[in-house]
Amino acid sequence: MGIIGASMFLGLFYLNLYWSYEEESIPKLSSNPPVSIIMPAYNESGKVKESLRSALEIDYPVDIIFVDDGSTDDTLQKARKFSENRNLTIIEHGENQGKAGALNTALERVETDYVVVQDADSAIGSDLIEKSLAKLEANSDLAAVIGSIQNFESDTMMRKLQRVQYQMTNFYRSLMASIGTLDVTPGAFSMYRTEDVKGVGGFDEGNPTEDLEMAWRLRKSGKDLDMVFSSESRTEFPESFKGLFHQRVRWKRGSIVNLIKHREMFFNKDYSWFGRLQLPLHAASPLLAATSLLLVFVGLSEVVYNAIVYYSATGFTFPALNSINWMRLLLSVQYKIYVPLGLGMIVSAIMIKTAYKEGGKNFRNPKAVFIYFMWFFAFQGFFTLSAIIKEMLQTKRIWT
Amino acid sequence: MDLIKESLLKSAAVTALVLLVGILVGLQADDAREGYIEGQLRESNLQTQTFIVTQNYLEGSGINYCSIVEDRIPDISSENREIGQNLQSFSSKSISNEKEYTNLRREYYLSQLRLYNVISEYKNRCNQDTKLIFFFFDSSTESKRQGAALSKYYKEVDNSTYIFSYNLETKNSEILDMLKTDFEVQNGPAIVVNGNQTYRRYVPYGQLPEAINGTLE
Repeated sequence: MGIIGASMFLGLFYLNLYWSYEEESIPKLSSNPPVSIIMPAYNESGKVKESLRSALEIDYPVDIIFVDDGSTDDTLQKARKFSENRNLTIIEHGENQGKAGALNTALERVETDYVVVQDADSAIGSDLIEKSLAKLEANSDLAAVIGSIQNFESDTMMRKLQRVQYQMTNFYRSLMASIGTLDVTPGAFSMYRTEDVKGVGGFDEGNPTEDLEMAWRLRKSGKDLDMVFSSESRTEFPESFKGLFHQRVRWKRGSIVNLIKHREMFFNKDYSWFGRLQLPLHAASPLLAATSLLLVFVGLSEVVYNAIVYYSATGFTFPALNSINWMRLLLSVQYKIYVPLGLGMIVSAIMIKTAYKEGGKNFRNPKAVFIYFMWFFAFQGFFTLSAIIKEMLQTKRIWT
Repeated sequence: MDLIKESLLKSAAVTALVLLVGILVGLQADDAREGYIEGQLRESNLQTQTFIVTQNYLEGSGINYCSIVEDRIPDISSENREIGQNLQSFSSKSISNEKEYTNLRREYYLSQLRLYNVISEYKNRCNQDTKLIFFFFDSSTESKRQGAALSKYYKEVDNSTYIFSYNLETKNSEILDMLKTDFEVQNGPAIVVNGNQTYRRYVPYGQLPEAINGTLE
């Protein structure tokens, strides 16, 4: 009941924020300050051309600094094909230094007031640049603006599921931005004020989620983060469960590392609602999913155990419908659990519908939406438990 | 009040309300379960009383007592079995009524013993081969398996068999204590056939016909 109550509380909290919040319009951009795009790459052969092409085609004055972080595939060769562009600088790391290392190498070369981080498996557009700049120019308290994230292809069920999840993530992030608790500056697209990023010492090398860590450090320095919706920020989602597992476990491990690193911010009034609300939620949400997964596992195990006990004694036969005592079945329902669970699912369904509406999307794949609705928490729980185990065993963290 | 505080308070209030509704519906369901079992027990008692009265009334008459009561046995047996299963199933779902279920169980055990006596009387008087089985169980896996095997036996082999189930973990039941002492049963599963053959172990489904007919070693 506690888990159902906590999930419902969070859903209602965000819905109430959505219903109460009046969105501010994005101010007009009065000048065109130059922008640098830094693009770290490690074995991104599949998407690097598309990423570089999207950056080079932006209808805005940008310098692009591409860092190949010791790729072992033909990422660098593919990037070199664009080297005739005068606004593109290619830097080679002989050895892999990790994503934050590559970002810092590029950051040293940045001379513009604003810098965009764009992953080498992502694509962006000029609308996104202009909207983000307008926000940064209008508010000097802002250190960074992130974009909503879309996917390139939805060809596998895993990608379809992630598409649904990102609809929700974009929705949550926009609400978090509206109350000043946004907690991440994703690598797919984030525009920073250069002096703020340099002011906090650049990216944390060796950190498994340098984007999360950077956002928290900017918060710590008293800066705010914001978000814009745009259809022009796209990234490649893992196509299989294995790929998703590696990516999400790395993210979860990054969360653990950063929660420990920045533990003094927890419930700390100096960091306003970010410290008092967002960080505790950031820690609690995956644990909630992991606990739910364990409870479902225990419940299913009990059902399987009872079935084994029953059928081992009697031999297997399909129960005839007319042998089921429906009155006993109806009276055996745990209403104290299932009534709040049913209402909680209604809240979740409203959340999904609202997120799609806010993101300007239609339900294109009801099967993926249904699977996400019923089972994605189990994925999250599994990734969290795996991350906790890997972190306890101190296994190697890999930049995937 | 700022938007975050307001949202936190509102969502906390609505969540508390929803959980409260869940608890209230759960309590109502508890009452409905108890009411259902009480109704079944009342009906069972009424049938037992009818049995007794019929027995007494027909004592000296020329009407064939045996043919009259014979038809009722499968129904009474089935209802009696169902009450036991409902008690077992519902008591684990109860939010707050542990004591109520203990009392219902005591009442059920009393009703069962009364029924056992009545059917024993019928069995002797009409020279019938009706099987009366005491089934003692606890929370062990073997007890669960024995329960499943007996259920299947009743459904698929002989539905005129009477199965009187007793949970050995029930406290404060004089009837149960008496039966435990009488048949020297401490742990489940154990079955007693016609009051004279006791198996203090799990009897597999395949061996039940022999056990019930008294030919099992």
